[in-house]
Amino acid sequence: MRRVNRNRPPHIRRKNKAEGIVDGLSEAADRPLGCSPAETVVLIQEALGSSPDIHIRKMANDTFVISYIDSLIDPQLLSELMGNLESMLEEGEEVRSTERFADSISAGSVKVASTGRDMLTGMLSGAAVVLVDGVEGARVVSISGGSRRSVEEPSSQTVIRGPKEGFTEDISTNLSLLRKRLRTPDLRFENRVIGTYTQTQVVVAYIRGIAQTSVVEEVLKRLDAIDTDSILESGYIEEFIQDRAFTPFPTILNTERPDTVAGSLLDGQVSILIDGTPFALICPVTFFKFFLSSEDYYQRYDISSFLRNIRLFSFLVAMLLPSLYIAVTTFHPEMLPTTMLISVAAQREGTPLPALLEGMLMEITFEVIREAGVRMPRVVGPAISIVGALVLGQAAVQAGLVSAVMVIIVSFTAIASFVIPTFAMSAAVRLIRFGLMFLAGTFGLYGILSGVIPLLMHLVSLQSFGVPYFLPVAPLNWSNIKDVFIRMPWPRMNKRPDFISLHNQVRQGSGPEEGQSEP
Amino acid sequence: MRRILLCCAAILVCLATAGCWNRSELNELGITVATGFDRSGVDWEMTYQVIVPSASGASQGGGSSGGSQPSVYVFSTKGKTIREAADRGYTENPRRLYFGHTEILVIGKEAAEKGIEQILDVYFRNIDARETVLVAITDGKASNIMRKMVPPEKIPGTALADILRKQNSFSSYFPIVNVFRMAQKLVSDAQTVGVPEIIVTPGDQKVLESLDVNKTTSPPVKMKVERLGVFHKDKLIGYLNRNESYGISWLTNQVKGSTLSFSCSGAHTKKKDGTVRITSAKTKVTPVRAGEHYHMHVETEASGDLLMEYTCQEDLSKPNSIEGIEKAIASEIVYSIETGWEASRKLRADLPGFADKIHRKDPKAWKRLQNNWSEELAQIELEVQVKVKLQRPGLTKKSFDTLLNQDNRQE
Repeated sequence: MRRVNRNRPPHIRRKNKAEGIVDGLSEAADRPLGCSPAETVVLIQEALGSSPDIHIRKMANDTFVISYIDSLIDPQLLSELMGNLESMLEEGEEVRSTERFADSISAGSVKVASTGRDMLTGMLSGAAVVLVDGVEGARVVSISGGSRRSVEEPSSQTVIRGPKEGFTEDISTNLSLLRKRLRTPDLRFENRVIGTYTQTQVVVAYIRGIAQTSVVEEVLKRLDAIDTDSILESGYIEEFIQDRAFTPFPTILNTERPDTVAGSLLDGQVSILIDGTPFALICPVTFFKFFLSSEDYYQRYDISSFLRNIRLFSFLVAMLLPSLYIAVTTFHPEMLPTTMLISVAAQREGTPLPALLEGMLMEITFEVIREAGVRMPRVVGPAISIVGALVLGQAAVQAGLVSAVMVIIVSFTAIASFVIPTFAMSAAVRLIRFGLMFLAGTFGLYGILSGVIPLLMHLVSLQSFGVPYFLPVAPLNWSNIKDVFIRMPWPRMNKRPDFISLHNQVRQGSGPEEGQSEP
Repeated sequence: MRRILLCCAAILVCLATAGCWNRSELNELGITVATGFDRSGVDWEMTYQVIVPSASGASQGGGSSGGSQPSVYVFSTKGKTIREAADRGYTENPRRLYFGHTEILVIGKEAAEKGIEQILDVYFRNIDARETVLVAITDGKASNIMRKMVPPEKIPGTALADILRKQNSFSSYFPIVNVFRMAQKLVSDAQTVGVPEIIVTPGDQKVLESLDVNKTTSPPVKMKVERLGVFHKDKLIGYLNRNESYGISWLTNQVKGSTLSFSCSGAHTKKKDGTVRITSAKTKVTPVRAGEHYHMHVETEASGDLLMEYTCQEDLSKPNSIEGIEKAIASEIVYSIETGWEASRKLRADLPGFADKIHRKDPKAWKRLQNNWSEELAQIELEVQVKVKLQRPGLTKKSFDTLLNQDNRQE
């Protein structure tokens, strides 16, 4: 039963578009606009109400009626638009011709809205509506402005070497950041508007000729199937279009780095940018992609390869270390060297709780501190670190409530989980950790294995847009493994990973000598 | 969804019913590092050296300070059988005795003479006792050894095991044996095994039983490895001294590293002039038929770094003189092997395991010799061939003896 529905987003069977979400627009809005500005103005006023930021201005005896929402537009562009219109009147041009009109406006691009709904949508996305007496439809001039953040360094994915630009909440800025990196006519953006109330602009970016067409179509299909009233963040989209909902592992990568997106597009992946959030989605992805930082490609290959393996090791540590400690100390003390056992036993001496409870307690304490660190106001930051480090760490050990080894284990686990470059993956690890600790506390190493083996089975069964999640390790694919555990030097990576896309495989010439291998 | 719920329920039931099945927290374990076996009459007396973790490791938050308490606690229990004695321990010890980390097993003299069959059985039958435990005997009571400290080490059991291992790898005087090897050798055709003997030097025995011993730089008594006890069919039958035991090490290919002194002349004299560090040695024993009986052809190859010391006059830059030294060392090894064999033969003990060699080489002959093996053993002669290869004569070529004499001549 499950298999049938796997590739279909869950909402399809939940709701039809026909009975879907209803917004406040009257049916009148769907009718074609007439040629009388006065009627249209009434329509606007009815639809938008009497908000103070809605302006309707009349020019030259109602020849032109201009309507806009002043919180969404750029005042300078507006005055330029007014100037354009004035000079148009002065020069007595034929204002009724749409082509001539569009050519005379320098403030922004001009579109024609034939229905009230189109016109209102245009207004709500920052355009000025110009109604011309005696002309059917409305002319929508895009002069959008309003407050937007400037391009800053990404706060969640930082690098030492590499571009410091991050995406912003404004999608046009984000698209320009991508265009600046990929100056090819093949970079394509597919636009969609999702969310009945939010009318969020969602852009699917891919490079034509590299990305697998079927994947692009599948992404668009899944996006089109979304029927919701709001998209406020990329997380909404991610959950709507992911292959499988019930898994702790993310099957879609998110990033706020334009260079990561550009690199993924060049690998044949497809990116989804959403207006209103700096986080872009990348799909399809494999498990190991979550352990790559864009910096891996900017640093020397040797240190990059080393760091990748450190990250994978940290992943294992973050997932397994507390459970291994519990299993070994409570079930298999013979596995430790004698001297180590004695020092661990000395630490455990006099602690009131069994190792499992102690571990659970400390892990939960850490999660609380961590959550507090994220939620609290920045100014109280130092207080948390004092309380966390001194009170809960040192004092708890000195009071004999928890053993020092456990504090070490928990701290190392915590630090190891921060090494994983993608937050979604480290979140998955955090959850799995608790389950494994419980299994370790009841069955020892056998319990850990009985948790890890099903987990591995689950991992290899996952797919991301038709790509097996554990590629290129399972199924094993030798030619692609050179960008997983090690990163080959750039001159040696002549081909794109063929499990993502089969189009246009050659990345660069594969000359025999290293020096000549640049294209 | 229902299936998932069912699976979850099944897992939960499994966890709840079978869960925590043999779980034991570290602070409930009495980690035993050394065990002593004694007999008194028909009773077995077990002695355990149990670690006091708070005193031996870095102790926890302001608790008992590590310096004032010995890091092990020793107690003895008696019983008709070994396991009975062990389980009596629960009447006086709050922790579950845990033998997974036992490093050494000491057998008292009386127990050794009466037979150690039961000890082997206990070690092989139980899962928590490991067969890799080193075995030692003592000339008195094992409990006596258990109670002694090995200053400045913290945990005496570990220290004793380390002493045995270190002497085995650096001087190879006494071949060490663990429970597994011991059993293997006792049930082989030779039925003989050598076990190092640990003794406490004569003097005030009580000194070593208190932490006060750490207050002196050289305690008046100490524990050391003294002889090699020889077991035949699970009973102690005699001892070999250090030199004899060393010969057995050579003969049984158990020399891992050793230092060997030799004299310039190459003859076996009391006065020695140089020392070689043996870094690798290999001995191969082949039985050779000699009429109705057998001789043993012993081929030893040793190589070593010359000359941790060298005071002879020979010029080391000449191959001839190196050869001379090699011969001198070889003759020392031959002498050692023969001493060892002589002592073993005197005890009618087949320490080198010749019986197995003959059995393997000529099973038919073994059937004939088997019944009369101890007589046969007495007649075995060794033909020893030793090849020594010297490497690395050290940083100086000429000995100071030569240099000093040169100076005399010039003046």
